[in-house]
Amino acid sequence: MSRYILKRLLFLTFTLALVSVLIFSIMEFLPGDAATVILGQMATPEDLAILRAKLGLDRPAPERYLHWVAGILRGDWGESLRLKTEVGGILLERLRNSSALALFTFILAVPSGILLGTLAGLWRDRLPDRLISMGTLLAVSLPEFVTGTFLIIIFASWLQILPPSSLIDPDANLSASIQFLILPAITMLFVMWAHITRMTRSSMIEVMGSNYIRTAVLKGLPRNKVVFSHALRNALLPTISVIAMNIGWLFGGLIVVESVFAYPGLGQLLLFAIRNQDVPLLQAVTLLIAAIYMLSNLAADLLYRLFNPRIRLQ
Amino acid sequence: MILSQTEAKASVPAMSNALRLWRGFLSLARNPSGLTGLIIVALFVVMAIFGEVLAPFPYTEQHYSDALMSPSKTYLFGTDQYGRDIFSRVLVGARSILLLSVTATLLGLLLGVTVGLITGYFGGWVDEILMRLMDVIMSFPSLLLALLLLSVFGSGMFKIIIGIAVVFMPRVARVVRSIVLDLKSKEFVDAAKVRGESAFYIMSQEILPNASGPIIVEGSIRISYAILLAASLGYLGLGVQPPSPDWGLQVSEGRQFILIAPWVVIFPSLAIAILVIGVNLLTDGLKKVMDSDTTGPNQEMQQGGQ
Amino acid sequence: MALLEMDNLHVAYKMRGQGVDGGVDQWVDVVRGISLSLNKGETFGIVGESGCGKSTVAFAVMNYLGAQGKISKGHIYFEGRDLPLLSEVEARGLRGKKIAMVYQNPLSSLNPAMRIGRQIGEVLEHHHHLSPPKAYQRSLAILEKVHMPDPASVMKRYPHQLSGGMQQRVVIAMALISNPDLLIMDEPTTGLDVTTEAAVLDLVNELKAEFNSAILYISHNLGVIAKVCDRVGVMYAGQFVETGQVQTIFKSPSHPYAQDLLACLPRLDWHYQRERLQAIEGQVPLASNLPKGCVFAPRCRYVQEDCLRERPELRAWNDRSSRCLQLEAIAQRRDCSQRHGSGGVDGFKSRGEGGIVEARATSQTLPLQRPTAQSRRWHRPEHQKRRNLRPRR
Repeated sequence: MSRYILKRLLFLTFTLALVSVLIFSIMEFLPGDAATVILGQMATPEDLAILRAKLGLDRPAPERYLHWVAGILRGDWGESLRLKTEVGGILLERLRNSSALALFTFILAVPSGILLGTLAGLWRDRLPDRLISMGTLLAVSLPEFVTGTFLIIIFASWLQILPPSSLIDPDANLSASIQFLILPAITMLFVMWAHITRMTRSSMIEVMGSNYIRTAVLKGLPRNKVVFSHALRNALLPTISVIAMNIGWLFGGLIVVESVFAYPGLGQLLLFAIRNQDVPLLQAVTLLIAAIYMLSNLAADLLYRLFNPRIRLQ
Repeated sequence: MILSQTEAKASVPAMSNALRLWRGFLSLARNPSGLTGLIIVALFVVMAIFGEVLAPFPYTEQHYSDALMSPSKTYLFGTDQYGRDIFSRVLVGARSILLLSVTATLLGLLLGVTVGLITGYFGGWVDEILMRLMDVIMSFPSLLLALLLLSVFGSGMFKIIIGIAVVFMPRVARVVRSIVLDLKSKEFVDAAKVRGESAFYIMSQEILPNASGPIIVEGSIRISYAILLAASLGYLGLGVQPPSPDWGLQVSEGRQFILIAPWVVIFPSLAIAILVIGVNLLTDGLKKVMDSDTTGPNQEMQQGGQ
Repeated sequence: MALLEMDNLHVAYKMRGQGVDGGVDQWVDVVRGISLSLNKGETFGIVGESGCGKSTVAFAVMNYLGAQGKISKGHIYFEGRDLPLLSEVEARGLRGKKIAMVYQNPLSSLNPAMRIGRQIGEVLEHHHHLSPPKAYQRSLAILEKVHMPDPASVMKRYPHQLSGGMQQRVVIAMALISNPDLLIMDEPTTGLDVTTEAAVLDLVNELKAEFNSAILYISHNLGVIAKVCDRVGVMYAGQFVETGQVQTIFKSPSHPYAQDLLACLPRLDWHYQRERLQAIEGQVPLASNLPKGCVFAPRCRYVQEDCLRERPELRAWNDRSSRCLQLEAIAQRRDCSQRHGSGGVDGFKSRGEGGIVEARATSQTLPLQRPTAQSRRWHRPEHQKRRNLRPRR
């Protein structure tokens, strides 16, 4: 197992290196460079040349790439062009905010999703299943910005019980209150629910139709025992993978959700960087999100192996 | 008994493609979710084709005196901040999003199927290199990669299509590759090899037709993602450029008025949601049709009916 | 009173219509009037091809037919109680305790994510309320009884870590652990290699003597049945076509189907070809589409014209019951052919007689063929079952 993890980690490092090359190369196509962004449209060619020399922009791309990567390895993510501060600091703060939101969503979504999926699977094609399936269909069909906007209309403007974070100061400190988390979390919850519920449902149905469940039933075990000690442990295997992969998806989905609620996380930071052509910031955020995404996929794989005796002990 | 029925299928004389397609369509229409999906999607296709003709107002026409009017007989869905008729804009908006998501999906399928066929069939270092590349692309969440590409290369219909297709390519390739790996070991592929057929022939004539079912389902799933992705890009301001109506953009522009004029946001949102629900229902229907085609008429028998 | 008694048992499955356009679901009888009685210590074998309804009989006894199956007519009495009428709770009290089952394909019948010890032990914990340590001791003992090598380590293992023979021993141990009155063995040796099969059969015989359970033994192999059973019912298309003492039927089968089953036994390669009984052409007819007369007529080498019109009933004949209109004629011809030393039924020239050609034409003889464009299209790759694993975006 540990050899396998080591292999996967090495592999992940390799892919991450390729990803960083890709990110860096894409940035090269941006019209205008850091110097034009800093000095604006009115700058003279002389000023630009001086600044470029100062920033090292006149050096060839491979050299600049290595410089960038070396910096990251030292923990130096570069300096934001617009915010005029170290990227590393902002990144950490926004990562913390996004993680809080993701974690909150996660804690809400996983148990309820598994429960709903199990119910739907056990009552296949009956009323509870139909209702749950309709709900998940709706949930995967709504883009996050639609769900989020509707939630704001309902809870913030009609019922006025929760803050539509968008109308609040976007740089407010979040650690103070959980109420800012609720609406964005529910928005993401819908999609996560849908994924977890669907997966649990279909694997539950598959497992309940299996021969070993027949064996358990024909041993004379009561239904709850058949479901909880025989079926669930097998049905949850694929669900575990889906859940872990969802962590990665959460960080992708954050981009829209954070924009809807003006939530100060990584997604908002990314949009800020895009709109302002803040290359160092954009590179850093993209790399970070990609890394999180890859790590969660790795986690999915490892967890699957960990909980699957057929693979684990071989 | 199960065996005999699978074989009974095999002995049915080969039907013409048109007939088979028609029968597939019939069984899709007989399936409740398939039928609902078909109706919804057909409705949106009609909107996409005849939207401009059906629209009561030109979609760019501004009625300043009627800005932010609530839904009425004149303006079925109300008006936006410029006094434009939302109903007309929703109607016309169907064209760009359908065109965009279908083309992007087709392109993504084309790229993905090609890569999947090549990697799955040849294996070895070709497989290694191409799939590593695909892994790199898949290391980005879909929306992030599309955003990144569009923000660097600029937006526009064509670029959005390319962007979404690039995002889909590795995911489709993975699916196709695993099908190919499975099919490659089948007798009819061996037979073709023994006959001395070229790799291209085997891939296109022997393997691809057999993979068509799952690829169609994958394409159907991908279209719904493409719509969601395109709408999200529009919402973030990187979609189809104004004044062309874009449902996502309509929602994001209308957000500042949600307290006084929620209809500006509600109707384009509903349009997206209903379209995606329609496509998803269609996908469910397709899956069921394919499943029942492969498992034969009495799959229930397998449980105890030896 | 017999321990197990089946009286004109009919089991139906819900099947989708067969028309070109799909059609509506309908209940179709796949078991059509099985009667048998079984006493303690007795072993009854049911033999027949795949798809003739053998396993369905077994699952009907366990009252486990699923939503797609039901007993449409007749009764199953166990210790005088009508099994299908029992409540779920009562049925649960019998399952695993008084009636236990051994399954075909032991690997898939064992929970892949549970250690062997737990899977055996929980039967005791549930039915006999034993404490886990006590259940463990008993489980260990029963594994020894089925000659499991190194039982203590097997208790800690997962099913996939055992060989096929060991897995089947586990399933047998699991069935025997609460000393059931009735043991149903559904093709317990199918899928095992020949030596393992022999070992398992020896085990069954040994346990028969020791446990004194009644055994309902299901197999497609008349040879296996002959080794372990006292009486046998040869089943075809949901009915017994011949029942009686194993030795009687094994020595001189009267029904053409029983003869054919026996004829395909001694071949050296029978095991390799176990799914296809070479000596019998054609296949079991679909339950929803039975021939008009004798259901075996389309495949029968002795078929006569009245066979195509009239459905034979089981009738007593020469120490057995048999369901054939031509019993006397067949026996006579058989005797005669054996006397002429042609070595069996194959020397008989009954093919080509009136009505036979026509009958064969209606049978569903479907040879395996190279996939056509049509058949390939139905092929569904293995990966599809796992495709849900992928994240949705």
